[in-house]
Amino acid sequence: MNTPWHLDEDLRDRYVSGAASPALAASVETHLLACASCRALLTPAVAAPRHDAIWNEIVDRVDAPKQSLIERLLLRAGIQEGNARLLALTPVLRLSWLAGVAVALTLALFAANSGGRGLVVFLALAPVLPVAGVALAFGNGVNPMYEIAAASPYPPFRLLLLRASAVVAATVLLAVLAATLLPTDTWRAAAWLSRRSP
Amino acid sequence: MLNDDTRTDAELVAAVASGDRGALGVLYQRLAPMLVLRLTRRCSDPSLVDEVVQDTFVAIWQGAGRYDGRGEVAAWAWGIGVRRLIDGLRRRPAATASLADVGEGRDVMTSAEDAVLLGVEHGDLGGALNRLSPELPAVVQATILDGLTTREAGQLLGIPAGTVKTRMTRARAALREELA
Repeated sequence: MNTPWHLDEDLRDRYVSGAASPALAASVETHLLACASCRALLTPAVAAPRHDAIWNEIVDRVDAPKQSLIERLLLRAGIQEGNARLLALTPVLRLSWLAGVAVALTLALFAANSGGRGLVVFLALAPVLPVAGVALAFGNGVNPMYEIAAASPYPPFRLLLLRASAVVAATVLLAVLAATLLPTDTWRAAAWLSRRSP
Repeated sequence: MLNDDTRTDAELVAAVASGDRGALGVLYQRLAPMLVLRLTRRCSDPSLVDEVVQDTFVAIWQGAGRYDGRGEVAAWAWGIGVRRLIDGLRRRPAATASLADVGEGRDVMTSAEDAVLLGVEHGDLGGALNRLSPELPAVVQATILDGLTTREAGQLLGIPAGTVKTRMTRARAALREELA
């Protein structure tokens, strides 16, 4: 770029300290956009620790693992970033509570098809099963992250509730699907759904 | 030193678009000081400035493919940066309080040396701009020099868009009178 003048250190210092008049500062800024050597002159004006700290943050964000589909869906649904990751990154637990859901739904179908007595049994059991599954999977021996979870500054009971509500939310979805398979008496499906919502 | 990289800024952006992290580092070395200092003149909260600079380079990393090769890379990066600043200020409105004095109140500091320099380098325009009443230069800076729309300028300065328009009209009239 052929510009008639360049920054010297004195002008740079006045620009950085804010002592330059508005018109001069504007000229400096416009010139900087077009002049690489004057931009290089600015480097010492930003403290090196600050310069490096910003860069490290950028690297962290650029290198951050891509969010899984489930995590992005949870975030879109307005769940906090930390909680979303907590839910999405526990595929082992996911398996155990999915199994719990499957058992509950099988029981539900069986009960609904076997008349009044069966109904009482499944109304009592169905809401408890998935949550009990989570509580079990949360314990030592089954959960590979037990020590980490126990040592982390996150209330265990809150973690249990968080996971249980994830289970229940997913269960309602599956239950609606299963409800379409139930016999024609649809109010029972509704009773079952409302009974299991927390 | 990263500064020894001989690629031009535009070549570096192309390299970033193809996933070259090193190229992003070189761009950061070259452009970050300008962004930090220029944003600091528009926002007195250093932590917000740092955040905006981070956002800008993350945006460059993700959107390098959208650079069309026209104009300076530095100007493109500044365009991203100033808009990220506006977003940041909207999320953190407390920081706008200090914006009222951006680009003004510095006339007190104008030395005789400045006046001479301006006379030489900028002719009457620079002097006329400096003699504008205090709230006008900030608006001129945001709309003409930073290339923001009336609405964006209003958000940056924490004033309604209508006020930006009336101040611009007044600034134009004042400059015309000064230069006549």
